[in-house]
Amino acid sequence: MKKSLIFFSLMFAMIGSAGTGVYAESISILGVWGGAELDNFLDALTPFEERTGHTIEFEGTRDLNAILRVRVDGGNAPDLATLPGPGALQPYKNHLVDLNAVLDMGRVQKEFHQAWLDIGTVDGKLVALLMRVSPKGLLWYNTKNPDCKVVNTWDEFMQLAKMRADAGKSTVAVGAESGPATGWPLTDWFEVILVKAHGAKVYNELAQGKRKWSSPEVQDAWTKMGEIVLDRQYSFGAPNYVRATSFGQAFRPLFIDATKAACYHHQAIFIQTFITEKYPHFKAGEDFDFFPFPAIHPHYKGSYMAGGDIISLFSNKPAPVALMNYIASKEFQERFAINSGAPSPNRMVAPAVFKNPVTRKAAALLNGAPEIVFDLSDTIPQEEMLAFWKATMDFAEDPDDLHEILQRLDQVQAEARKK
Amino acid sequence: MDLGMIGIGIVAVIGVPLVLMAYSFGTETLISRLPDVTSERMRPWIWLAPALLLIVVFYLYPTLRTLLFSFQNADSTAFVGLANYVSIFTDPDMLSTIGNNVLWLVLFVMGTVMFGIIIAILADRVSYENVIKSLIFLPMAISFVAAGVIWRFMYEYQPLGFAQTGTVNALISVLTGDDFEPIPFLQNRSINNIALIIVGIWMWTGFCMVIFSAALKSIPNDWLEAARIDGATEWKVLWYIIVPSIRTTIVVVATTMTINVLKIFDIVYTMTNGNVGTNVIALRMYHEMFQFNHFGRASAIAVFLLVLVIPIMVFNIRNFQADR
Amino acid sequence: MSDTQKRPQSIQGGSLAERILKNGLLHSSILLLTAIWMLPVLGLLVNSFRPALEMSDSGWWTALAPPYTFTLENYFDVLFQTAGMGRSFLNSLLIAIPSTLMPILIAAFAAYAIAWLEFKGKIFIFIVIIGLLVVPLQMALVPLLKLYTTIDFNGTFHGIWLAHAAFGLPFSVYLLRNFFGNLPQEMFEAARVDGASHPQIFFRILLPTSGPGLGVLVIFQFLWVYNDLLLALVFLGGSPDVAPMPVTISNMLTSYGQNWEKLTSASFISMLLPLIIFLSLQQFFVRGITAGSIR
Repeated sequence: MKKSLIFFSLMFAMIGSAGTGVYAESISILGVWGGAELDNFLDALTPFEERTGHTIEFEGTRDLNAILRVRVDGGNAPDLATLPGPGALQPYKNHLVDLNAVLDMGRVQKEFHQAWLDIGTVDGKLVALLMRVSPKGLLWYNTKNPDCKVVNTWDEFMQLAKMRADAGKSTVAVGAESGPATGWPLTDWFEVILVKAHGAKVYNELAQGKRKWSSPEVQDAWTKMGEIVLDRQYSFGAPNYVRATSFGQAFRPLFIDATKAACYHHQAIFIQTFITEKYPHFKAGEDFDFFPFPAIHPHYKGSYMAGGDIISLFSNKPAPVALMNYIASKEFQERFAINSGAPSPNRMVAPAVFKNPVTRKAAALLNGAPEIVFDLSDTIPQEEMLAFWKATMDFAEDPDDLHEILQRLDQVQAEARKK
Repeated sequence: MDLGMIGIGIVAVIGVPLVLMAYSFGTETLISRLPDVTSERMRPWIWLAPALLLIVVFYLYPTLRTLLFSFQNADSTAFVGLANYVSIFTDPDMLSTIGNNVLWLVLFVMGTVMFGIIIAILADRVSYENVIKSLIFLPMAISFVAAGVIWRFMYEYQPLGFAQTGTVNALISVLTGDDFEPIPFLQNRSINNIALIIVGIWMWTGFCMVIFSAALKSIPNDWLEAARIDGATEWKVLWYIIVPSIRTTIVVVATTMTINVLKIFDIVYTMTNGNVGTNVIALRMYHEMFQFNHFGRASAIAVFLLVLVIPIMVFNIRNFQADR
Repeated sequence: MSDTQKRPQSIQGGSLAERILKNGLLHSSILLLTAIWMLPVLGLLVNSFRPALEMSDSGWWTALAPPYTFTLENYFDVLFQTAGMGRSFLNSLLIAIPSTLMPILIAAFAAYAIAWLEFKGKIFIFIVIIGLLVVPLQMALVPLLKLYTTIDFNGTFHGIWLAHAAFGLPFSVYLLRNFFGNLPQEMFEAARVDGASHPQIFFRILLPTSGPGLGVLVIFQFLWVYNDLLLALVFLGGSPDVAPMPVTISNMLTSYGQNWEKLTSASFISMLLPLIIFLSLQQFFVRGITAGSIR
C-alpha cells in the first residue's frame, strides 16, 4: 500500500511539472538596455515566465557588438539578442534561426505589416522581429511659446526661420554628441529631409546601396540640412553647440526664456521621457508637443520615418522559441508598448491603449501613414553606418568638404556591399 | 550564489598556494637527486612551468592565430597575402592615427613618469605620505566609466551667454571675463588630443607613483643616512643615490607606460570614439574587428603593434644585460 | 628596525631659515599638486550629493554656495534600490580575490627564475614576456571562448580566475623580476653558502623581503580584476547571479545613457574597496626591510 502511494505521488508530481510543457529552463537574452527601459521590457515578459515557469536572464552591455560577436564566434551565443537595427544582423546571418520555420507565421503575417517583416529579413530568411517602433522625424516644440507654431510646409518653416533670424533668435536646437555614437542625430535630420524632399523610393534605394551618396538628390538633402542645422542664424549656438552638446540635452533651448529660446527640436518619440525627467511638472501634450516634419515636396507629404528595436533568435530549443512566439503576440506587444511609451508594430495594439496623448498621436500617425521608411542608418551595413555618423560630424566641422565626404561614403558603401 | 561558491573560493585561495608550495619543494627534492649539472639546467624551467603553461594557452595560441588571420580576408576564409597590411598603411586616416600615438608617447609617458617620480619623492618626506599617495592613486581606483563622467564635467561646453557647467570653461571664464568664447575641448582639433592626454596622465600618474614609491622604499636606509651624515645636500642625495638606485624601475615604468600608449583605448573610446582627429591604433583595431567585421585588417594592426614593441624590447634587453 | 626608518625624512641640515624655506616649499608644492589633481574628483564628489536634476544644469561649484540642496538620494538609490547590488559586490570579491592571489605566486616563481637563476634561453623568455605586454586582449577572446565552451568552463568562476591569472602574468612577471633583481646579491649567496635550497630561499628570504614589490602587484592586479568589465561579460556572462559590480553599475544606464547621475555615487561606492586595500597595504611600503637581513 505504501509503495503504491509513493509511486502515485511521484507520478502526480512528474505530471504536475510536465504540465508546464517542458522542465523549467533558463533563457538568456543579450541586449544594451539598462535602468528603466530594461524594467519595462522585463515586466512585459513576466506573463510568459509565470505561465511557462521558465526564467529569463537578461545580460546587459553597452558594448553589444563586441560582446555578441565574441560570444557567437566563440560558440557561446545567447538564446536571444536585441539589436539596434537590421544593419547589425549581417555578421550573424548564418547563426540566426529562420523565424519562418518556428513562429506561428499565419498569425504573425496577419498582425504585422509586411514592411515590418521585410525589415527583419536577410537573404530571404526572417531573422528578426520588430519589438517596438520609434517614430522619428518629429518636430518638438514648446506649446507655451506663442512665437513657435506648428508649421506644415517647408516654405512656412523657412519663412518663420528668416523672420526669427532677423530678430536675432534661433529656430532649431540640435545636439549631435553621443559618445561613441556621435553624429546619429544629424543622420536623422538628413534622413527626414531626404524622404520629405525626394520620397521613399530614393530613400530606399540609398538604404539598399543601389543609389550613390554622391547622387544629386542625396547631395541636395545634405545641403539643405547644412543650411538649417549648421547656420549660426537658424540653429542655436551653431556650429559649436551642435557639435558639442549631447542629444539628451539639446531640447533645453526650447524651454528657456522666450527671447533666447529656439522653436523646434527634431527628435524621435523617446525624447519625451527626457523632457519630463528634466521638467517633472510638464505634461505631455500640454507643455510640449510635436508635429510631423513639414513637407518639403508636396508629393511626399505622407512619408514617415521610424526606427525600432529588433530581437533575434540564436537558439532553436523549445523554450527560446516559445519566448519568441510570445514576443510576437499582442499580449507582449501591448504591454511593452504601454510600458515604454512607444508604438508597437503589431496591428492588434490600438493607439487608444496609450494614456499619453503624445504617444497616442504618434501611434495613430504611424498606423495611418501612407508610406513608412525605416531609419536608414540602422538599415545599412554597420561599416556604412559608422562612416555615415562620422561623415555628419566631418560635415558639421567643415560643410565645404561635402563633395569629398560623399565620395568617401560611396567607397564605404561599395566595399560594404561586396561581401 | 551559494555557500558552495564561497567554499570553492576559499579552497582556491588556500589551496593554490599550498599546491604551489608543494610543487616547488617536491620538485626540488626530486631533482636534487640528480647530478648538479642536470638539476641546475632543469630547475629554472620547473620554476617557470606554471607561468609558461598559462601563457602558452592564453597568449601564444591566440597570438599565432592572429598572425595567421592577418594574412587572410575579412572572415578568415581565404588568404590574401599582404593585402591587409597594404590597405592599412595606405589609408590616410591611419597615418594621422599613428601620429596621435606618437603625441601620446611623448606627452603621456613623460608626464606620468615625471609626475610619478616627483610625487613619490616628495610624499616620501612628509608625515602625511599615505594620504597624499591615496589621493593621487584615487583616479586609478575609479573605473574608466566613472573617469569618463568626471572629465565630461570638466570639459563641458555651454554656448556664449550661458552659465558654464564645465569646470575648465568656468575657470577660464572667471579669469578672462565675460567676453570669453567657451571652448568645445573635445571638438577642437588643435587641443582635443591634448585634452585626452591630460585625462590619461591624470589617471596613470598614480600607477607610476605607487611603483616608484615601492622602489624608493627598497633603498636601504643606511645608504641615505650615511650620505647625510657625511654632509651631502638633499640634491646630491637625490641625484647620486636615489635616482641611480631606481634606475631599473624607471626603465620598467617607462616601458610599461610606452606599451600602454600603444594600447591606449578606453579613454579615447569613451570620450570621442576617435572622432575629430583623435583616433589611436588600438581603437582603430577595435573598429576593424567589431564594427567593420574585418578580422584580417584587425589582425594586421595587432601584428603591427607587436612589431612596434621590438625597439622597446631591445632597449630593455640592453638594460637587463648591463645589470648582471 | 630603528625609529628613523619609520619617520619621514624632512629636510634636515642648514640654518633654521633655510630649513623653514625648504620645508615650506616641500609642503606647499606637494599640497598644491595634490589639490590640482583632486579637482576633478572633487567635482564628482560634490555632484554625487546633489539632486540629479541640478547636476546637468549648473556646475558643481554652485552647490557650495547657498541655497544648499545636498541630498543622499543618489547613494540610497545605488545601495538599496538597485537590484542585485549586494550580490554583485560579493561576486566581485569572489572573482577578484583568487584572481589576485593566484597569478602573483605563479609570477613570483617565474620572476625568481629569470632574476636569480642562470639558464640558456633566459633572454628569449624575457623577450616573450615583454612582447606579451602589448598583445591586445580582444584578439585573444574568441579562440579562448571556443576553448572554454569545449571544456565547459563558460560561466564558471574557475574559468574566469584562470583567465585573469593568465592575462595578469606578463606585467606581474616583468615587475617582480625588477624588484627581485634589485635585491642585494649577498643575501642569496649567504643563504646558498648556508646550504639553503632554492624553495627555502624563495619562501623564507625572498618573499618576506619583497614587501613593496608584492604590495604593488596586489594593488594593481586586484584593481584591474575588480574594475574589469570585458572579461566578465565574455567568460562569465552578465546574468545577475554571477555579475560583478562593474556590470551591475553599467546596467544602471539605459541605452540612451540616462541615469548617469547615479554613476557619480556608484563610482565612489565602488572605489572604496580598492582604496581600503591600498591603504592597508601601505604597511609593506616601509623602508629598511632589506637592510637588516644581511647583517
